[in-house]
Amino acid sequence: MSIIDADRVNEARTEAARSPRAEIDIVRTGPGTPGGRFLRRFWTAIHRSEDLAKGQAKPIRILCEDFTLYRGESGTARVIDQRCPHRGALLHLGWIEGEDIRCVYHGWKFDCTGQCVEQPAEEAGFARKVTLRTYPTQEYLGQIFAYFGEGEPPPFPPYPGPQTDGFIDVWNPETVPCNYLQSFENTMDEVHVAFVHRPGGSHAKIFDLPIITAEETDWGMIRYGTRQNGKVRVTLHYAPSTVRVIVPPLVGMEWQGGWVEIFFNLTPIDDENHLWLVSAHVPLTGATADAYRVKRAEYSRKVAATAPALQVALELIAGKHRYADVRHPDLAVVQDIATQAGQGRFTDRSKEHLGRSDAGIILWRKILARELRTIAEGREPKRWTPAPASVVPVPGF
Amino acid sequence: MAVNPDLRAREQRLAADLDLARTGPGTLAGRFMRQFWLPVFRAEDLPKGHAKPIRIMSEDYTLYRGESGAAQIIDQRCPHRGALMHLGWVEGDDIRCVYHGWKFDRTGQCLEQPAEEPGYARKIRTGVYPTREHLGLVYAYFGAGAPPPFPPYPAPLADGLIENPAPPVISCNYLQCLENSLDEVHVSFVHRTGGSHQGMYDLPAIGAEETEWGVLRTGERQGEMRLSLHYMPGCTRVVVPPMKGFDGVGGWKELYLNFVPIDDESCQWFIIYHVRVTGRDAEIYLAKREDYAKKLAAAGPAPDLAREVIAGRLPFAAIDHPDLVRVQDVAVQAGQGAIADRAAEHLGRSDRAIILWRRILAREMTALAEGRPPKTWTPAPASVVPTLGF
Repeated sequence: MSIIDADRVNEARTEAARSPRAEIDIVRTGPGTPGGRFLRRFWTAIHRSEDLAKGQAKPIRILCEDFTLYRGESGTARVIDQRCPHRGALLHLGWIEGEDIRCVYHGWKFDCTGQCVEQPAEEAGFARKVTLRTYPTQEYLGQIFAYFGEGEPPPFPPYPGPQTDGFIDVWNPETVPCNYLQSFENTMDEVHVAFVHRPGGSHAKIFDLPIITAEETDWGMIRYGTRQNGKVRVTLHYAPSTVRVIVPPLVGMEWQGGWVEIFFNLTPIDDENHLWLVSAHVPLTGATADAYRVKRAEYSRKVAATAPALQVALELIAGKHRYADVRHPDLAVVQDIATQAGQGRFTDRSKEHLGRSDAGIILWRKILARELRTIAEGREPKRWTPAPASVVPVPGF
Repeated sequence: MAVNPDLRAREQRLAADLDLARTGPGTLAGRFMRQFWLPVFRAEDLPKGHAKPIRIMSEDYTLYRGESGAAQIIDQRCPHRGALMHLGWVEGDDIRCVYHGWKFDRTGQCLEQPAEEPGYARKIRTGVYPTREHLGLVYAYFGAGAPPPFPPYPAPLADGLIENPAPPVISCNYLQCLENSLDEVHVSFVHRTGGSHQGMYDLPAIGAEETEWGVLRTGERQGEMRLSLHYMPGCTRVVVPPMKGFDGVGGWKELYLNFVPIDDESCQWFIIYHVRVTGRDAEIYLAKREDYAKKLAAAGPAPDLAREVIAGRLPFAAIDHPDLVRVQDVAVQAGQGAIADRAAEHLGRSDRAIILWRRILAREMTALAEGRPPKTWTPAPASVVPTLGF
């Protein structure tokens, strides 16, 4: 393990610049790419649990591949191929029957193992020769996870839950029009909050600039933001793309419940779009929890009556409003999407000028490049293990 | 003018292959265009302390107005990690990036990096581009070296009002719009419906000659001569009838119509009108203009209606709009395609001015390609003005 300070960062940069090896593509995640093979070794958060009712099927796109997600009548979420193996109809148009799904086109029915169990218009005996692919699913902290890799999935849950009393409040999912890695990098970049989130004042307590350090762990990366008064904010980055951090409430919550711990999953839809699936742990019980829920309902009504955060962010990118003038119940989300999607679908890393505040990003890129190269060269990648429950984020003020 | 016949033959051969329409960085047409001041924004749309993203000739920039009132143009993105500079804060005449607070002055020098080691900032610069203002527009120079004289063309001589309508975005290459402005015969047909150009339905004989500042074009009708000026590289100055929604108030106006490429498949028209009204007439005109603006807002953008016509959902003759002429023009010009296929054309004598313009472009682009000095253009004298001619 190494603590990365500014000197080490410069050293790493010089080393990278001298390296005769070809740059490895760290942003693409489609099937067969090193990045895609890396991400498929982990459980992937794919959908907010409450947005999938029993008996409902939906199309989903994850890591540049299309699937059908449905919830059987027992309540279990299932992921199967996008299309019926008969003639390619979309399976989410079909019917859920118990735990099975029936294709809308010719009524082929598949059980939860992917076995075809009925083909109403075909010869008997054909059905048993037909299967479609299914993917393991689990639910945790209000999100549905799936495993898209080979062989047995890694341990579940992929990371430990909150250690204090309270409840989980799952934020509205966002679709962000840029590559997942630049948003994940933003989570490693604590300095951004002092500028990006200055208008609106959500992060007013942490406007003095921290010194960033980071180290690799068995489960990802731990990052420290050390402030002038010596206090340290600790943030956890679970491999491959989840950040656990303590953050201020969204502005529409009007400080009800105070700062919350979030488990923020960044999941590629394809190379140019990704999902933000955020589970917040609200450390409240009893009457304070009830007051939070009342405010939460009021907040939801405000959000429903306002232009979506993504739309406002795209208008900012297009220059239709002045950044400092925007008001929104999800202001921090608007600000983050405008900044990160504003870097372009893929930020051009060859034009960057990194500094000491980018220490977390530099370390993560080094880890990612090392793992992707290992995978590309057919060697055995690092065995990540779930983090111990005792390692928790700290707000640091 | 004596012309070397070998050179002329080479230009003609090259002209067939030259891409006159595409103006991205490094293209010959782009290098030609980058020798000039170009309008990039309507001045009144850029208040002090505001920053806007702009795209000109397939390149992106950040335009802002410092608190001293000066418009500045810098690169689109912060050199740190590529954030959009227009999301940032204007501080005095400097701009600060929204992402990590890097601050740049009007020379492009990085002055502050709040979270970095001291000494790093002075090694970082962003690109800056000269800007000026004239007749209600912000102009920029994107070429190498010192910019040419400013203003690029003279202001009107007569008394009156200057006005700048909102600059429309047109979904086709700038050159076919510019060529349309060189083509006076089109008005008898494109603008027949609605009667705006009634005085000009008999067809003129077109003449055109190259000048030190562009092309002077004549349209001759039964002894009457209409004069129009085409300033390099894309501004047409011409006398035009009032828009339909004005009901004739203000009379014929002088129009400076600037065609500026956004990218190869879209362009923006930056418009300067000079209306010859003063005193009581000016008041009547301004009241009418307010009335017109309301009609215009209710009617929706002309390019949207033009799209309906191009798609065949609305017959050309059925267009009704306070800016009728604009809808007609856009429908015809954008209807030629995103980039008109010039290889499939059949030009005639009425296209004489277009042919001259293309020959000048081809000659200048050939000079650039061969490393010879291009023509030195000089701003037109204020005394050369367009005339109506009837």
